[in-house]
Amino acid sequence: MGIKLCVNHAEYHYDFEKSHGFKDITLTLEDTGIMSILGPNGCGKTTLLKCIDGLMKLCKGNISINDKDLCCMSRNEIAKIVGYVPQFHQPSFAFSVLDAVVVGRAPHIGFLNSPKEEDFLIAKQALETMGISYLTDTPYTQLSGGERQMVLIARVLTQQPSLLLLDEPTSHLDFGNQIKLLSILQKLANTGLPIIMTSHFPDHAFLASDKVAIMKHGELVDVGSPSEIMTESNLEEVYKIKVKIVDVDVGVSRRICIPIVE
Amino acid sequence: MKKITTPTIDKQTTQKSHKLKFLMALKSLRGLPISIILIILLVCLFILSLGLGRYPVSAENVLQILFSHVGSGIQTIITGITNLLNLPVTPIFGPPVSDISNTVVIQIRLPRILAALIVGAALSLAGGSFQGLFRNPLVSPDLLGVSAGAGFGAALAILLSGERILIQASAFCFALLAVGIVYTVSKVIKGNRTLSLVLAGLAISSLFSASLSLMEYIADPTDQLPTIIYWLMGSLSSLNLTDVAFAAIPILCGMTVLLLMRWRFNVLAMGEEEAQALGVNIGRIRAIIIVCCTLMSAAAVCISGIIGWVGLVIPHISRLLVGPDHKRLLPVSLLLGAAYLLIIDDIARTISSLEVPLGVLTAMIGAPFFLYMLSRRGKGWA
Repeated sequence: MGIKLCVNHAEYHYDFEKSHGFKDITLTLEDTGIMSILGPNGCGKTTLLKCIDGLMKLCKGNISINDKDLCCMSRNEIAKIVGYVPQFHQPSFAFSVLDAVVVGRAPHIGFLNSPKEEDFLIAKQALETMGISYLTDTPYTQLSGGERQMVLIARVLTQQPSLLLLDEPTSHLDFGNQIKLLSILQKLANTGLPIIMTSHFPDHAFLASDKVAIMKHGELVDVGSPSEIMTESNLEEVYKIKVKIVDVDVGVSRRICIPIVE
Repeated sequence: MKKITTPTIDKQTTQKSHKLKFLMALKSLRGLPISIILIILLVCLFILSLGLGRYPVSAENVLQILFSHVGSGIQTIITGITNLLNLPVTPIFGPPVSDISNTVVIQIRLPRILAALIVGAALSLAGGSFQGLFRNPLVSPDLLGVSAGAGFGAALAILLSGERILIQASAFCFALLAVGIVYTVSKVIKGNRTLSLVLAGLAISSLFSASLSLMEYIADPTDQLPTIIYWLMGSLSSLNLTDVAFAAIPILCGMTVLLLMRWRFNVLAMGEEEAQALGVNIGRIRAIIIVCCTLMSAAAVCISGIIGWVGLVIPHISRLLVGPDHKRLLPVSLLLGAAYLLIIDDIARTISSLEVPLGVLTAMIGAPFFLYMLSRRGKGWA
């Protein structure tokens, strides 16, 4: 597949409040795998994701996908390449889960057409990938927050993008589902689909990331592999708490992050 | 149904696709009967309504009259062709019988019944579309000021001339003007566009309502004022076929576009930003929907006067019947709206020797029925 994403000196600021924007961010993503963006609340993670999907227009700098500037692309063109899952979704009507997921075919379906059997088949396969086939006919409004998150990810898979942007995909999930979702994401990444996700859990970045970017006050602190970037000093600086990074070996060996309560 | 032709598909997926096909067939079957039932119901209602009234005509006679007109139409064409080719003429269909029942059915009832059908269909389709666009089941087609604009336009024309054609034209133009102002003003307001449209609609509507009140205040209370008030309560009496034909043009145009793009409403219902993430050019689609709905409801209101409640309740009842998927919801809304207004208009013209205003009846019958429907269903709102 291969995708090349370049974020070049990007800057965005809201006109009412400066804190949630970001400035001078330069990032490139050429390889597949999962990139986690860490950072405290309001550091501009969500805004950055929205700008990469072209939902918000940069104030300065530029973003290009496969060497094509985002500003020159139509919404439909972007949607065929980039899939975006927001943090929250407030449903308005009681669509069945299948109807809500097949909406992901929108960029591939002509303006006056509606989804055909093939499209429903793709939607069903996406539900299967997410392990929620049993929800197919459930009204969307009756789902729990976690189920809704899974449905949203199924929808974005139905979109068949070449780059996935997930905004805190684990935030509404219980302990078990968080880990299940991470392993699903890792499988997807292994099939060659690059994923950029924001997260509040350093452990998740250790568990399932090939690259980590840390943001603070709208600026990029550091980018690199998890073991290089996720150091005690970096995390302490960003989150303003004491943390210990330790390697554990209890049958599985892994690096974890322990917050210290004083 | 189209067959999937993927040669490389393995056995498991073929099985799955068969199962899926079966499920989809079931699903479309579940939706199909209701549209067909509604179409049959509409045809029956149409014929019954033509016979209904102070001079009753049996359904058999109604059909006879209708066929004789169709026949004479065909005969005219045949005669034209044979004349052109210089062939001897042997008439197959006779001229239509012209007696009292013919006059009553064709000249008096047919325009009115056609008007009820298109006005009902237009208002409820516009209502359903607006509810999808604004992601809110409580929205009605006059959200952006169509009714207020039309009311003011009609009152102004009544004050200035009282000519029927002028009243219709003025109502239509001012309805478009009101929505045009709302759309332009909403661009200036900062923040969420949906909200700014609703707020601008509210403000402009009350501006036109106030101007309407002023018109009523200065109107001649013996003659003009009752005309204005009667117009505002809605009525389909005294319409002729030309009026209906003129209103039908914008209504059918809007209807065609909205029905063709109806699946897009499912994408819009996900929310503005998500629809954009799914590749929807939100500004363009919003403009298309607003233009279509405004043309439809303005054309409806300008021949019928203000008929509230249809555009709010019918999409809602349709949603209770077939669910929120706009692919089925919008056609069902359209058919149900046409049937509903036809029944209401039949009641309005037959219940007493004095004609009951339509706007009064739609609310008096619609509101209790709506509450009954809501109380009957277990699942949540919308």
